[in-house]
Amino acid sequence: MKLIQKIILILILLTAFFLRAYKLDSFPAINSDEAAIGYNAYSLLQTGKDEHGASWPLHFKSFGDFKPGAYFYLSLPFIKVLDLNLLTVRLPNLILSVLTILFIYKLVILLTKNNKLALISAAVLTFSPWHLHFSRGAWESSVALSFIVIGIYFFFKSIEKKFLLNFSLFIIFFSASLYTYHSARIIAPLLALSLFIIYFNFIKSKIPQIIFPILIGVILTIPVLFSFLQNGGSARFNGVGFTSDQGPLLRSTELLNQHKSLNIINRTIDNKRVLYSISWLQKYTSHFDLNFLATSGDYVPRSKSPDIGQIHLIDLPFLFLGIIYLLSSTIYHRRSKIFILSFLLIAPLAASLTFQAPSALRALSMVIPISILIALGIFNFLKIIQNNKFKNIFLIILILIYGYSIIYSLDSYFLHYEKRYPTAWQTGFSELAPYLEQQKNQYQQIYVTNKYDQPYILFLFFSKYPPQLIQKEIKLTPPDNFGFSTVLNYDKYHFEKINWEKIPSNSLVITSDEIVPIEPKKIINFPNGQPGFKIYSKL
Amino acid sequence: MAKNTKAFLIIVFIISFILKILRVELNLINLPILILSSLIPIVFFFLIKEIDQKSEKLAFISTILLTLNPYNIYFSDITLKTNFFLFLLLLMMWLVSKYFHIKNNKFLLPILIIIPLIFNLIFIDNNSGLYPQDQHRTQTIINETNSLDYYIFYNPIQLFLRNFTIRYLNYFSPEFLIFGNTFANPRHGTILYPSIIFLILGIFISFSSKKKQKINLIFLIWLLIAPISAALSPELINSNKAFFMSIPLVYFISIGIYFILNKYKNKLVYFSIIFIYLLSLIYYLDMYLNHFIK
Repeated sequence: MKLIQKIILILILLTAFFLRAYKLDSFPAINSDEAAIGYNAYSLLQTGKDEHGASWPLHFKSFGDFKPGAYFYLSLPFIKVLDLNLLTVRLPNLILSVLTILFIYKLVILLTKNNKLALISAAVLTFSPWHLHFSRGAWESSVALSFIVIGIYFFFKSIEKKFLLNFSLFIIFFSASLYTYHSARIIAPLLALSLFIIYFNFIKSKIPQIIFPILIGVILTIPVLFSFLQNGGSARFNGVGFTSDQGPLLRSTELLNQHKSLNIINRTIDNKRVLYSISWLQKYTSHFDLNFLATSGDYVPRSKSPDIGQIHLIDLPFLFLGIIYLLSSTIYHRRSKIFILSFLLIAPLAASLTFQAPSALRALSMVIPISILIALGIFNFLKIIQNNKFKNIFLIILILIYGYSIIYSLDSYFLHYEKRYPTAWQTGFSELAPYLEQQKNQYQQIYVTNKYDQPYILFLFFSKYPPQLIQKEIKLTPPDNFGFSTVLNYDKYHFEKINWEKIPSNSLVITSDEIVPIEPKKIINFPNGQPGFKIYSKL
Repeated sequence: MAKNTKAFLIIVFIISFILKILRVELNLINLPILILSSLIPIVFFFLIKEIDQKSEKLAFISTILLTLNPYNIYFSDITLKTNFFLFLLLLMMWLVSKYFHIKNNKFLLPILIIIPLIFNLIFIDNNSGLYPQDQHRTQTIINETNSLDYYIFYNPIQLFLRNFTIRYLNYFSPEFLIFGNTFANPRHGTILYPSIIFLILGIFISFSSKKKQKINLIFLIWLLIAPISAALSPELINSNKAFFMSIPLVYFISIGIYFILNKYKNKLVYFSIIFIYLLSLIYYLDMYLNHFIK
């Protein structure tokens, strides 16, 4: 690699790090999953058990959703050294997401031997709104993606040299992804299978050597499989799976009722299985909706910035150009081409099996093939204009448009996001929790609104409540329709819908928008100036 | 013209006509539009045949698909203006291709690009570009940051382009193309389910090989310009105004099928394609005839 290329790569990685690390200790606010990861890791460090008293579990019971454990363990050293805070919980993802960018560079170089294309690919991922969003926060999905990308790199590396070592690393990283995020349990095995099928002849030629790494894979996978099945894995799927959507069932009944008499054709066509299949297809293809990709993004505010898509709008023509160039050029080897397209098609599968689609979070791995294709489109465009006499003008226009798009997306994320969707993250708890801890001794009880998601864990997190105490006190509610439980009270805290009349005297009451007949003692505002929490003293 | 081709075209006309009268009452008022819309696949056949003179296979596939295409079945019986102009557009393109092919003229390509562009203008009306205004949005953005941020990133031009882009891209969404939740026909999209695979295949195959790239380019440009006037309308989806895109859609689907049939020349592939299309067609006709009005 030339010196200039090394410098460009370092600059890209530094930019990626800066964009992902800037104000990471406070922005975005925090969410209950992050608090759960942080507090459970803290609990492990203090007592060797999680909040529910389980010793070093593979799946953390948390809100009854049995979160895969890898992220919890990754955050342990950071919390041990730098104490429990938002930054230490987010550091593993920060580091691994920058590593993903490095590895996409290394992967493209390995596949194409083209440094320029590899640098463009790394730059596209660096500025990708999709990847940036999920790099900032303790997103298990992003960490699982890092493991998958690193694993893929080692698979291709094993084809070139040191088969045993690199193939073992491929197996280890793919297995690690299974311990990190639920969706990876569908994506990673399918990707591995597609690699085995595409490189069947190569794999076949390595049969004696492959046994050892495969054995490692089996040994690593068995515990996660058992733990998943033991800890309500199927119940979790029933809660969030696409069959939990009653729509196709109701529609099937409606369609069957519209026939005067039913024959075999009607019964077959309007069958609920047919309609569920169509519903699945609808969810799967929604991830390729151009508005989802380029203008509006996800519907879930926690997974999107306002007024932008998962990719930049200007990326869209390059994405198409990239696909055409992928098919028509020899820059990628035939098998690599098939793999990139397979990756693109496999990536939304896990998300399509849930009731909520499109999902930028669950389909995050789409960002890798999409970035590779966009980079290929830009590379091809630069090649097309290379001999044009207006080359410099085209180049300036391209840089200007990309510059505008990138600043627009950063503006949306850093300046508008938290103000537009103040409740998407648990904004205000970082101020509320320390304040209540100060006031706690003056009151017999503290009543907190349950309007915001899983408030108990945020108080445990910010107050660093002794884990040995919560392990004795904790009591989860029965799971809701989506399989989630919560804690209604611990210590002096009670989390419920505030009904002023029923609250006993000498209580501190925290409301959101509930009506209370007295003036609040204190108001904590959201970033957009609207009141988030109103604190009342009931004497 | 060969006898088989004549017979094929007569059958196409009859099937096309029958599909329309299954839902529309046959009377003197409806008759002209029913005849005209039933003639559209036939003109399309001649156009494709003229464009691809080496083989009639593509023309046969395209014609069958257009006859059975949900978008065309649905719209062929309700709007005279749309069908009349589509008929006229195809007729003009066919005659122009025929004339210039004879003369082997270099102007053929630009003319074939300009014709659909001009026809697209027909649907631009007084409401075009008048997107719903949201004053609250402007104030929200200014409150979140400042006026400078608003003028750089959220100004009226930017907002217009955003509104336009969202509407434009809606016409290429899976919802519009296959599922139909945003389409005027609420039970189905504009094309049959299996067509989505052949459509994607057709578009990418068309431009990854150098063969017939110019002709494919005409249809690609047609596909890209067809939803413009519809995207300018205030509604998020205006299927009527985007109706011209049914032609390039069917063209690229046909290219996809043609590619597969040429690549895998065995009966199993033929029958598989026919079978899945038959199932999909039965599903569509059930939705169209039994559930649509209910």
